[in-house]
Amino acid sequence: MTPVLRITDLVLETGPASAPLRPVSHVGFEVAPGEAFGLVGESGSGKSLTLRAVTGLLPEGVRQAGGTLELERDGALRPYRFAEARGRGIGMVFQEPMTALNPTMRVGDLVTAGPRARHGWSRRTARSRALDLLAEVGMPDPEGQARMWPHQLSGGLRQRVMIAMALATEPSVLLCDEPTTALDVAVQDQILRLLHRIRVERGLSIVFVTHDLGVVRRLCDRVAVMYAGQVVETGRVDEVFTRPTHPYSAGLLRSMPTPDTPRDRPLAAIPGGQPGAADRPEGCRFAPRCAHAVPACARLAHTLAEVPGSPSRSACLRVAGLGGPPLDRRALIA
Amino acid sequence: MALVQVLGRRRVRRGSGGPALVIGAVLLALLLAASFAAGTLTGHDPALTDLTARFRPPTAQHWFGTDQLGRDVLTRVLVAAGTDLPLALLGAAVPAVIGIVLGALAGYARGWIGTAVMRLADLIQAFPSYILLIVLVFLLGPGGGSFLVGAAVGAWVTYARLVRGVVLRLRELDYVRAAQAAGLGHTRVLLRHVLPNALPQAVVYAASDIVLALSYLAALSYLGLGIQAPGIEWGQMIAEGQPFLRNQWWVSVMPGLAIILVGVAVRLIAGGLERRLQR
Repeated sequence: MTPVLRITDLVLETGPASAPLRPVSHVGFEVAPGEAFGLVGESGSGKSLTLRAVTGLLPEGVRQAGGTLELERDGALRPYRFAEARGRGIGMVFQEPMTALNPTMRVGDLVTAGPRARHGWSRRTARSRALDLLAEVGMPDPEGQARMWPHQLSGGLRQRVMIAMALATEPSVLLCDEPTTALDVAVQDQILRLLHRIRVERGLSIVFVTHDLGVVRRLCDRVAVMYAGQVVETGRVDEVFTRPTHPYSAGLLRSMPTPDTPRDRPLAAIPGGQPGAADRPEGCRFAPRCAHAVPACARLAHTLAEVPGSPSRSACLRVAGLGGPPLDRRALIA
Repeated sequence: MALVQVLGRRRVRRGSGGPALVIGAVLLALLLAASFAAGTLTGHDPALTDLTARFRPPTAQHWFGTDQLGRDVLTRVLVAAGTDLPLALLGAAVPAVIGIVLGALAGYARGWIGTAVMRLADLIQAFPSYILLIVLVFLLGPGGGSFLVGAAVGAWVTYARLVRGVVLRLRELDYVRAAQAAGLGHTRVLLRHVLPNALPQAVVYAASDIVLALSYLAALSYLGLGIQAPGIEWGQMIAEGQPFLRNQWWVSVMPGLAIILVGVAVRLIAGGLERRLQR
């Protein structure tokens, strides 16, 4: 089946053109129709920037220096113009529901501002669409809340409004940038259920950027793990979460507490920290922190390769058999 | 549209502008209304000279006395309000609008537009404002129109700087990005999502600028560069009465008091607006 969205070899640069830094280098993934795709990594791994690049809304000073962005249209993937994709193919949900809604517009007007301008809807049409959308995202009182100002709503309701806003453009892909991070746990759960329901009802694809592995496990079909601006492992969520094929993903999983984790023992942590864009090591960027690193890791050219006996793809030289002494991936979860 | 959005927000605020805003607005409205009905209210003709009634001190018949030509000062002060108030309002509003538009453009678009606007602002700010105004009005010829041009050229700079600064901050906010992500064009994003949030400061500033515009106008007229007779203007009246200030003080002092009254009213309005619009 043709994917709805494909990103190939995305390179983002910042700083002077003569000596640029690359917060994101050669990131690629594709999203199938109706699929929920997770992009996980620590802060600074480049996951949010990648998502922003897809909409063309990069922060000041960051530029796209390479890569192809394609959306499905009429059965084939085609490069798109941002202005066009924002109003139709792509919807975006932001992390902070407190700052992502314009405080000077009523909720009802806010929700349909985009398509109203695009299609020249009348006030009446826009209003009835807004009410439909607010109902769809589970606002308890769409009529009343459409007349409210954003600051009168709770965080959870604001996030619902933002989802309604993103859905108003009838997108085929919904990009979510840590949509539950700013919310408390009970509300998080409601929003995740809502996103899941919308995805099923609309046959919508979702790209989910988060550092919360639990969210990915619950909501996503496939996942890409990012580290220091690169994808180090990608595959089905059930595989990656049970049989990781990269030492970094394995480390992330080990550091995630489960109900069985003994309370009196400190959580496992990966020694060291993620290198910034300015001081990334040659070769495998994770090698300096990796318990399984061998000298060849420092010369590895980044690539995602098939892993023998696994549906996942990994950037690890030893696991993916890219050279050096092979490593049995069972050693990763021990 | 953007302004309506801003002022409309007050409906959800608990604090209103309080009595200050109302008192200030009522004062100005009364003064303006009185200026249209000046002759009827006082029973005198502002232009009628009566050399037998020169320099009458304030009495029940002439509340503000009469001037060197025997004209009723109260009537003239009121009629002058019809010139001074609209010009002062415009003198504050025109540069405010120009400055807000240019500042918003400079902040939102940046690049060469932003650079051009801000360098132009630097250039204009290098001149002392009164000098710039007087030179421009001198070149254009005296009159209300020249005053507006002169005021606009000099005063937009402050608004442009103010609004640019706010817009620079706002444009990086998520809700602006969210509006862009929803497919809105730059014009709409700027008008409906950026500007309404950048306006409150500029609106408050413009309100207090009315007094400044009035003092500019009065100063110009005092110097003979503003409103020319037979037009009537407070600064012009002050200048006319100046030679007689020692013994017939009311000829100059009454229009001066009118300027002070407007100053107080405008200050009340600006203060009220500030309280109403502050987050």
